[in-house]
Amino acid sequence: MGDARLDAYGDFVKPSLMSRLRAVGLDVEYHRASGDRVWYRDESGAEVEVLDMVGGFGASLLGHNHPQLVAVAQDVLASGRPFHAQGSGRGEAGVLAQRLSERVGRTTGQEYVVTLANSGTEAVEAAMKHAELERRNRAEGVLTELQRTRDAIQLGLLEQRVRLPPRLFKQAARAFGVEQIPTLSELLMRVSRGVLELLEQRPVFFALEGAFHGKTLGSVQLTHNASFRMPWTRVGPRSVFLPREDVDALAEAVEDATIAYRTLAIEGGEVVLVERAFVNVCMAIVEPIQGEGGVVEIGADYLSALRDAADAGAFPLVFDEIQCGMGRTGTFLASEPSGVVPDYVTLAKTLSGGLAKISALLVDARRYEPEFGIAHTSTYAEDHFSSAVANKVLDLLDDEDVPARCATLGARFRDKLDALRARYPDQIVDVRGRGLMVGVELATQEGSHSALLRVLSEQDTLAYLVAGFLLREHGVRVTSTLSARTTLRLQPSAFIAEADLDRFCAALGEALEAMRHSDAWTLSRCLVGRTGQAAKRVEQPAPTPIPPVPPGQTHVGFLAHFLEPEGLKTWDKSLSPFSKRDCEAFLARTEGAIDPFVVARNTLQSATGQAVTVTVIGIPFTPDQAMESLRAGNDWILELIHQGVETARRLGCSLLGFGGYTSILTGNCREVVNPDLNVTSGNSLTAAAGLEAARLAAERLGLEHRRMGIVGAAGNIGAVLADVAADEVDEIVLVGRQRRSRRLDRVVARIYASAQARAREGHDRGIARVMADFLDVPEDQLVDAVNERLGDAAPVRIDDMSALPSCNMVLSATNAPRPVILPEHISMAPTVVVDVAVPTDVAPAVDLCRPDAVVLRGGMVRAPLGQQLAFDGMSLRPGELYGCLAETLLLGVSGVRENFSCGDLNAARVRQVRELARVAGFEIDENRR
Amino acid sequence: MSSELASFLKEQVAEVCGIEVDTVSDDAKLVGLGLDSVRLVDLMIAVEEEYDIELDEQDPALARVKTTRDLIDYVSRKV
Repeated sequence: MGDARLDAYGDFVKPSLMSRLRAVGLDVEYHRASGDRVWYRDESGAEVEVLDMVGGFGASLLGHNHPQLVAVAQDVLASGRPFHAQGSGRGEAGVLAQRLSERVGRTTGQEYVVTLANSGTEAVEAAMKHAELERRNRAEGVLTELQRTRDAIQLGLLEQRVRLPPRLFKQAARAFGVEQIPTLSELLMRVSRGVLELLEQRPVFFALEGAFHGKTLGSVQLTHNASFRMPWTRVGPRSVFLPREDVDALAEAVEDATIAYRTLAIEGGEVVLVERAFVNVCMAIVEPIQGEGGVVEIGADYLSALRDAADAGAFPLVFDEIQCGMGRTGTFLASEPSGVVPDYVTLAKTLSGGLAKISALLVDARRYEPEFGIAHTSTYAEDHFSSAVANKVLDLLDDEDVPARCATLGARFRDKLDALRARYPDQIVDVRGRGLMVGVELATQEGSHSALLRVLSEQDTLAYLVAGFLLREHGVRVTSTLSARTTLRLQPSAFIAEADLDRFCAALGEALEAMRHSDAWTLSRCLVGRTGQAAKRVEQPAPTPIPPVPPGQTHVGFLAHFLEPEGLKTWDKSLSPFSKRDCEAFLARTEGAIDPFVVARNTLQSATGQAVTVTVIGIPFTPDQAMESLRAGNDWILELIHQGVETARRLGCSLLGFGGYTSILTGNCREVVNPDLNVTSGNSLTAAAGLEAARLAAERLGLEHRRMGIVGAAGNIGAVLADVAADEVDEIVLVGRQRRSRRLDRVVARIYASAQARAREGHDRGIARVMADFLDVPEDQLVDAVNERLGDAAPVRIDDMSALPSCNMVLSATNAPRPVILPEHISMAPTVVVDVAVPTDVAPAVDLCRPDAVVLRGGMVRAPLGQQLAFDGMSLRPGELYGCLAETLLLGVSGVRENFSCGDLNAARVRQVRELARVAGFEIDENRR
Repeated sequence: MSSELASFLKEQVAEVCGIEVDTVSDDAKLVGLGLDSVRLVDLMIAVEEEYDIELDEQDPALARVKTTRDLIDYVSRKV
């Protein structure tokens, strides 16, 4: 139901947001709202009632669709008024502006000129523009003043009332750093030039750390959150962010923004050179209670210091009351209790009652620049509809005593939340705010026994999971603040029932209880369609702490992913009640929403005494998801892999190994070659280990004539396995996905060429023994020569799976997400089957149905000196390492500083890494599975 | 010499900034006393005339002069 509409929203409006909403189950469309209730339809089409604590980000202080506001709106629409009548008198806007001026003036004692706009950010933009107009006029005033002084000097000299002391020119020359200034006109020229330079200086805007003032090109530069602001810094105004409550830092910022200039004055009948200061600040803007910054109240003393600084520097002080103003915090302006009076005020949100789009900038009438009203206009501003709705909002605020209601309800809500905090001190850090503008800051859960909760907490996204839980399990709608993502914003209407506040607290209490017990199941079961289902809580031990990297030690990274959906449960045991399908559903829902994270860190010693520290970086996807992503041509996994590379670089790794599909998806690391970080797919050692395991098993079984089938021979590992195996085995059967493949032909040619070279060196085993008869044949004619002379007895052949039962050795190295080797592919006679692939290629049934087959997990390597490294969340037997992980460690201890296995593997690398592994003490054994 | 220089400098700082000489303590920040670039030039001219030396406003060492004490140290090295 409704999915097509949500898909359209995701595809055509907000792709990234929609996938995040889906990840935590917030992907619903609300179709109806009233008061503090909103409704959506579930999959069956049934209406689900939801208690809305978000309140339109603060816009619905009067509740959704307040009947009296709706009535006004309907009346206006039915009345046939012109929707827009620019360039005429706008009576309704005039009444609104007058009422706003009077309402704010009630406590400030001032009168205001009101600029109406359509949204909060526009009101801030208007403030910025007006403030710059003021600053420009102030700066031009300096020039005007100088011109007046010049005239007065010249007149004074003429009338002999004013004297030019000779000292003036000497002093001025030195002050300007020139040899001499011989005349008054040159002195005036220099002084004027200095003042003109001042006019060219770019001014700054003061805002506070944690501030949010909008997201349009100008206002976003006053929004502290770097991710919202940084991309547009070059094209926006200059801002300085002041640390909250730090009066000294404010003084310093004013000093930094102050420009000294020299001008002339007449003192005691003498012309003198004087230095003056110009505070090049457009304005200081502050939310008396910060909203998106996490609901943080700014102290009265600091607001007062800002007032003093603004007065001293002659720049306006702006209170952004868009979210906190208009009664929500218990007074009409949230700044009222501080006693500090601003020069400008911005209002929006509540002003519209949620129904219209309207905002207002109030400028102290004494400062208002009359030309601003002509310079700054908008098609939609001042319309009758919005103004009429806003006028009704002002009526209701008084008639319903809204500020007082907010104060009373807010105090009760606060008591309830404080009680919750007392009960869950490790889950709630702080309860903040005033009236019905409340923030609940969740504590970090980085010490949680649940890996999922830990990682989400580290990534600042745990509050979203909680929001999903509250919606799906309790029908309660919350979001976190935009810039402080661990703070839940609670902004209900002034008419919320106390029982609803209790309902909210009970629901939040359940989420906190689950967090306390490291219980990711309860918080995420709704994401897999198990809302409300009880399950036995699975306790798990505290995580192994991630130790710091010892100083000076070689540090390598390793990218790992889930090898199967149920790896999720190995990683986070509290998710044990999930079935395999649940795991798949969870991973599908959250695809791309969880960033790479550090899983484990370990230090390994080599047999020769070198040490290396490895940090395993987890990327949450499965092989099926990787294949699907390849098929669908979307690149969310590749994006995560790039983030993983960035994580490794940031952690200071010198080398990064690519486990499992991370190498496949990056063209065996080719696509991630990076000047700061060496990369390796780890495939050389994986291949070497597979061959070694096969050789050991074949010797133990006493296999005489060795015919090896290589499945996945067209692949990178398979092709190299064939090349190196040719050193040992008598015959090779190459099996690819297609029997005729140019790639396989090239593999055959390469095997013969390298065997011929080995034969020339005197090697007399394996395929080289056959090649002893072909030493004179040029390399490019070898394949034809061998086929012509030996026909069906050629030692290397291309075939399909049906040829496998004739082989007594089988090596498999495909990228298939599911097993490809089934019992019918394996002979009943003793056969060595080595599975190099991760995930595995050999079906479990092979072990059961072919008792004489020895099935080995190829590509596994044992750590040197019997070391048993524990990697939380990875299914490795004690002492065992994946070949690719082992190669990463091996290159680290061996001091190899290059992109070792990158792109196509080659046999020389495999032989080289086998030797390095032997020296460092890595062991390869049969590893029966 | 140096105490005489110190009192002379303090008097001159007070003079050019238009403040009482008592307020010019050793640790006072010159900027805080109101010694801007123009007044500094005044002060330097006075020092040059009194001690018959030449000072240079562009001297980088002058930029490090922050307090009365720094100023006394600076000038005493030049005299």
